[in-house]
Amino acid sequence: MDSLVTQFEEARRQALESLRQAEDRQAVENVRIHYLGRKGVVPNLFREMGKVSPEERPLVGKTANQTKNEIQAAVDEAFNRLAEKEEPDAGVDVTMPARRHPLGTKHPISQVMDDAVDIFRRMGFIVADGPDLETEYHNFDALNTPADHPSRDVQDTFYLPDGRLLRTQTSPVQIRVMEQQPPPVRIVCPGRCFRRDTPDATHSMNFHQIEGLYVDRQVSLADLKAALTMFAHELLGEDVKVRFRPHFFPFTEPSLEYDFSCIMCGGRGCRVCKNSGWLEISGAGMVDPAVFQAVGYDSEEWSGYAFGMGVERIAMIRYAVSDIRLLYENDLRFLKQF
Amino acid sequence: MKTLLKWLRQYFDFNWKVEELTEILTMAGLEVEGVEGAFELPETVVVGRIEKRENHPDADKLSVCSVEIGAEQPLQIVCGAPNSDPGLKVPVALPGTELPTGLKIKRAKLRGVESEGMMCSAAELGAGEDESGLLELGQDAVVGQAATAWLSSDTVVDWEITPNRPDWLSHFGIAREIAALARKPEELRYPEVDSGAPSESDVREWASVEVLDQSLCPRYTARVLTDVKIAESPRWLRDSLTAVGVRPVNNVVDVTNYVMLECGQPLHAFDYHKLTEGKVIVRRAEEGEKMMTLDGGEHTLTPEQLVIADARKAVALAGVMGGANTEISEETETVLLESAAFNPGNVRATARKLGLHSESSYRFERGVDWEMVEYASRRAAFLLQQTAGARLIEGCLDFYPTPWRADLVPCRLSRINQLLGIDITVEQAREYFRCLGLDIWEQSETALTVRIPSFRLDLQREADLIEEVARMYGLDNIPAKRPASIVGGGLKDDAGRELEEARKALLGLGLSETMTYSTISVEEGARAVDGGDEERLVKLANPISAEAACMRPSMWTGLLRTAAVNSARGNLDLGVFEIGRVVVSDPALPEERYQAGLLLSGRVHPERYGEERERQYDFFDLKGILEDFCEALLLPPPECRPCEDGKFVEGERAEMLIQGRRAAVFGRVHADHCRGMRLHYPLYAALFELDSALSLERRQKVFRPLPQYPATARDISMVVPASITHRQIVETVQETDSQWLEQIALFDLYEDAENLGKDRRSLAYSLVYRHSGRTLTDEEANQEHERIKSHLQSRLAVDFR
Ligand SMILES: [Zn+2]
Repeated sequence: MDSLVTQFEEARRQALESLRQAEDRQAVENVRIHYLGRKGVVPNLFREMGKVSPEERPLVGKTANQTKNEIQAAVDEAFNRLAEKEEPDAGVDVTMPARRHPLGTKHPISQVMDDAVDIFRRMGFIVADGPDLETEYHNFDALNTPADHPSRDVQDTFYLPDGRLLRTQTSPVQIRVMEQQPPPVRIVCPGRCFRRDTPDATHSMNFHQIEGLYVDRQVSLADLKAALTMFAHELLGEDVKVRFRPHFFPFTEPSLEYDFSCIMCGGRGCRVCKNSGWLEISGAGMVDPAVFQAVGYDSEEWSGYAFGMGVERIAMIRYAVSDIRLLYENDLRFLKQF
Repeated sequence: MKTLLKWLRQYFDFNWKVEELTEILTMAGLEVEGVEGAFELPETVVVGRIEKRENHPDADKLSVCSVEIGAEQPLQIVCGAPNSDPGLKVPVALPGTELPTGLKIKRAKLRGVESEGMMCSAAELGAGEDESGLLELGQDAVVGQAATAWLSSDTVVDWEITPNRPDWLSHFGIAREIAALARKPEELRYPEVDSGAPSESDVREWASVEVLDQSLCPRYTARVLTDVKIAESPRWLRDSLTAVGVRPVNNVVDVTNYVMLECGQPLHAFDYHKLTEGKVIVRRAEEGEKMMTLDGGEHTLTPEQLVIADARKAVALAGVMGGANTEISEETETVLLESAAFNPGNVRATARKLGLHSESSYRFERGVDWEMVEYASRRAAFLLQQTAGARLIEGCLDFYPTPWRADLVPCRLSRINQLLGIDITVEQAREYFRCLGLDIWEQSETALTVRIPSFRLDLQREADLIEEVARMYGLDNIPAKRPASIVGGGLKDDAGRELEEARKALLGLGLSETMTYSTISVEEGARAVDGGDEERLVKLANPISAEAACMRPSMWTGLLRTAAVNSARGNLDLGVFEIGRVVVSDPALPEERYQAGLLLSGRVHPERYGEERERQYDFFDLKGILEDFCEALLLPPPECRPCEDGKFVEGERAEMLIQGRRAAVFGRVHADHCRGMRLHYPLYAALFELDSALSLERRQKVFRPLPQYPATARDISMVVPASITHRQIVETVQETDSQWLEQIALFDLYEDAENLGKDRRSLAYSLVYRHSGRTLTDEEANQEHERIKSHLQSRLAVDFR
């Protein structure tokens, strides 16, 4: 019987020769399995090594490892050689459809909401949350909206049999947060709201709002203007102009409405902005002292601003969607566009 | 509130063009809803007055006019219009003008006579159709001024009035605001009143007024006018009303409407002879009292409602509408004119209860100016004398026991500047208040005390006055100041982030986001709620329709609605989710919680081709997405077991548990829930409890060193009864507590009723062994593998192959 060293060398010689002759990948793979596979020639020879005398062992061991490594290297090289040899015209039609793994699409309402919240987070706001089922106190009384105010009417608000209601705005979250913590406060509250509107192209029983509140020492209307202007620029671009007009809300004083210049026509006037060049976004103002009183804040020491905006409205402007019902219909052909 | 610009100019002259006016008022809080009939001319079209007219020497149809335009010399203009009469004021286009119609005006000779401009018809200006003659501007037009202002006086602007400003519900009120914004309050003109010649008798001989509930009627005035001749109103009156959308009726009714639109004070005219004993009694209605209003409606009243009555009967619903029994008719000769103030809340309640909304109730609901009550009556009396030939009986019955008292409101300069972020002086603030008609009661260097006039019911506190300063200063002029400080902390939890994470994970798994209504029908709710128990639904007390009568108890209904809409439209390949709040009434559960609903149906990859295109979603796709979702949220590993939920098909339904808590139910949707859908493929749905899952402690990411020694794999192939689950096999293998077994993975499943029998299946597993400190020998791996196999065989009825 040949010495183990000789057997290893013979195996190497044969393996390298077979690899030289191999003309396709299968042939190379067969050689690899024959020599290196779990029951192949080389592993079998390794098993013989137990019988070798201690003096011979270093030499045999060295040869064994060399053999294994050289065959492995020759196999790698043979594969590479074959890969190079493969004809270029046997390639693929690169214009064939790809094997894609498409991501899902985020609902346009979520996109606007996430983007808006991100912008306010960068301004130092944190997100607060409140329930959909609200008390009249939080939704109206504490927001300085008296009992005979038209918005409290059963015509406009969904009530529950126990006297609670579906919140008509995200503003009650302001109250809940201020009840729980002393000033300063800087929060945004994105959320779903409900009004008893008959659905049409611009009205929906469900809609989303983002409410903002900032209470601190020395907060002024100038801060509010800066925050909302920054928001407009971040969300819709630096070209967007913001306009503030006096208005009326029970829970702010002064109250104002803010408009963005129309992104469709750049403010020149078009169908979307009804030729005014402006798109009404929503309301804002300085927190009314009566609201501070309701939550036990001292309106002499603290002042604050609050704003609210309709998410659907912004989404419809941003994506040129003309009918709010499309947003809740969930036709996949619609959703896949965002 | 519609206003005619010409009408506004009766009280205040303003030279603003229509766009300027609407812009200035918009920025002061008076928003424009619409503009009708506005147009604009070049500045070089001015008001001219024809001084002289002579015939053209060489043309029969032309005349040569001398036209005064406020310059040194009158212009000589050749004109062919038939109505170029001396005295007429007309628009004159000066040489160099280009008219909107494209016509260019030049100095020229017409049949040998020099013409220094052109007098224009409406058609030539592009201001209308009329080309029959020169456009007549009316005698109040100022010679030499741009004609635009006088032409646009037929423009109507519709304003959106916020509920806090009832003082804007009249032409005079809006003119007062314009004067304030023009900083010329002293130029405001009040509507003309003149009582005419005194009559022989006194009003007290004709009528009496008695108010039984002062809280509901703080002021009531009555005047009597005789010799009224009911007729059509004069042209100016009819035109004014028509322009702002009010239908002319007769001279008496028209005057009351006109004064309401002028002063904001609703008036009512009774036929005096139909009032029993000439008595006016303001009282609460009796229970069950009946009355027919002017519009023909029959009403049964209650004591909550205030009526105007005579000695016998109710003759008007106070502040809302007059009664048919005392209506002005062709035969009316004597009129009792009511002008009053009623309690806003009470008028509102009555109007709502009876479904009667009128221009009067609209104004009373918002509050009228008590101090205007008598003046408006005087104004109407004046106009009735002019337009209906009426004679005014001397005096006015005026019930006004507690006259209006002005509030004094202090306002600190420091507070103004701090809250608005501006820096103005006391003098500036004082000037703003002066323009707005607010008198200064007291002034120091740091504060003002303001006397609130009767027409500004909305001003009660310092904050209200600061808002007035902001309006006058101009919100646009307030600088935008970047946030100075960052307020940290306070709230521990940033509520939005986890939901955002969850949404992102599902998007990454290829599902698209949907949003459905929170309100659903009770029937849908009962099918969606666990146990079908309607009692657990939270129902609305005043739903708008049966489809939206309760809160969704789970995402189930939304998913099915989405499936229905899409299947009906041929969108058969669906992979969608919705994350939102669900509501149940159950003492064991939070009332509101977040849930994720997932829906799969149809082909997984309709965008691919060949076999890959045909693969359809099945149970294990949904299970996989749920497991990946848990992984993405760093939740502990979930386990699945069959469940009993009837929403799903038996045999293809499961619940997912995380640390023993149910996190989701999912499976193939039962056909009972798909009725009416045009489905080609089965629907798979899952309801995942986000709140409860997110409250678990998340997996911490900690690095484990990479293995240094090679692993070795052995396979097991076996035929097992179908009753033995994959999970049983894995758990049985794990019972051996093998120190080296690193992984067990199913790599083949083979079901073949003919060869294996119907209730047997073939499973093949790959087991990977590794020692962490050295290379395992073949021997060791084989021994461990055999140990595991024999354990399997001892526990389960498996046949190795
Ligand atoms: Zn536009």
